[in-house]
Amino acid sequence: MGNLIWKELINEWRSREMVVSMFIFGLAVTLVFAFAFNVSPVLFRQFAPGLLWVVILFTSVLGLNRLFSYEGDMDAHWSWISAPIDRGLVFLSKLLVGFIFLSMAELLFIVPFFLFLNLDVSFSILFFLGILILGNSAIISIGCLISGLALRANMREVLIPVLLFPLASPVIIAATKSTVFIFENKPFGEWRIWILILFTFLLTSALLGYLFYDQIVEE
Amino acid sequence: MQVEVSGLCKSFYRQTVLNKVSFTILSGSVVCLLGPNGSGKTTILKILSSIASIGSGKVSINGKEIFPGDPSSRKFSLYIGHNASLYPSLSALENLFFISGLYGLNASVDKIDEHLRFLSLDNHRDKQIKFYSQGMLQRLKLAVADLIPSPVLYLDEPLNALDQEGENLFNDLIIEWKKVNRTMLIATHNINWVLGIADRIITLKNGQIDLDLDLKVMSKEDAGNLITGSG
Repeated sequence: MGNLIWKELINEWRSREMVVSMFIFGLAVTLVFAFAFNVSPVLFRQFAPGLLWVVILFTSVLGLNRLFSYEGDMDAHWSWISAPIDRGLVFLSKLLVGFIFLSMAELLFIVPFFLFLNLDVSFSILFFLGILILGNSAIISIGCLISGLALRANMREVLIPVLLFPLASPVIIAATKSTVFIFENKPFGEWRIWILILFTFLLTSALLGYLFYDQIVEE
Repeated sequence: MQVEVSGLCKSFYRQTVLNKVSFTILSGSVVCLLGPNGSGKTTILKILSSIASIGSGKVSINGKEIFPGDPSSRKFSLYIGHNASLYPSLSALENLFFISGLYGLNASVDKIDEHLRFLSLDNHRDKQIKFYSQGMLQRLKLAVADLIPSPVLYLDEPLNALDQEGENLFNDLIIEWKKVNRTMLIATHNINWVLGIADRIITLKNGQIDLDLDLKVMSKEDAGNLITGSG
């Protein structure tokens, strides 16, 4: 597993394509939102959670595309498909690395998101970070499952968003709802159900990915 | 290790690629697959190395049936494809280090250097392989095959882009591998080379075995005539 993660990190370090492109894209979409919606900060606060998760979902597609597209260069993925390792570990390494890269890009564009949209930070940062971690991992987990399916597809760039958006919509809804409650400083008990939904999606997709990655990547 | 293939069938999108292919590769022997493009050579190698699923039929190594989903089925064999199957952004050293980790070897830098030196790649070991020429990539793939001591080796078009020196090095490697009883199945188009190195030649036509020639019981000249004659 360490070997697989090391390979992913070296690849990204050499190209710096994933984090940089995700950050620039996230920033650009934030700017578009800031200029497109000319409303008061009070009203923006109601929109903000939904906008934030839309930005994160769009950004994750870029990362997922890159995370799997270089496997196809020189058929590099055959090296681990034919090796005597549990292929489920490859899924888990992709999930972990995808999560790390998405979170890094997010940390870079989340500050401009709050600045450009004139949002004040009068809520629990701890809860907010928690929901970001949970939401990111659930999106990437579903995304890795889909990207594995699309590994050999010619139209991978199209297939990933087409499959990801509907499958990840419950995650986006749950994450948005939770963020609304966090922004409104509501007690945890009131929005616990959304966290449970997020957890369920994360665990289900991670488990499916781990167990069935063998069949998913085979020709 | 002996490889047995019996009744292997495989279809892609309802198109039959392999149709009841059966053969046995004796331990430590070199068997070459010949055949025109699309005859099913690469598909056989991919199935044997668990990259592609088995349509129907059975593949076993030393009597133990292999199942693609089972990692232990893959520990006896190594597949070297016609593409590099290596990461372009990684250097030769990093790629070999990564692959050795996949096979649980965790080879040291000195050990990797030794294999790179044999294939005259030691001076380029820290260069990202996306800057390698095709011939250098081919040599690097041979370094992988030399580094990972799997008893069964599947090689797809190993001669592509190799210069004469590279071909000689490859021939030396095959002799070394035979000494340690490695079983080899090689898909290629180069009939002359095959006649010089193979213990047995299997030719494929439309997903079926056309000729199965044992070079221990027939002359290379007769085998060559049969192969060119069957076209």
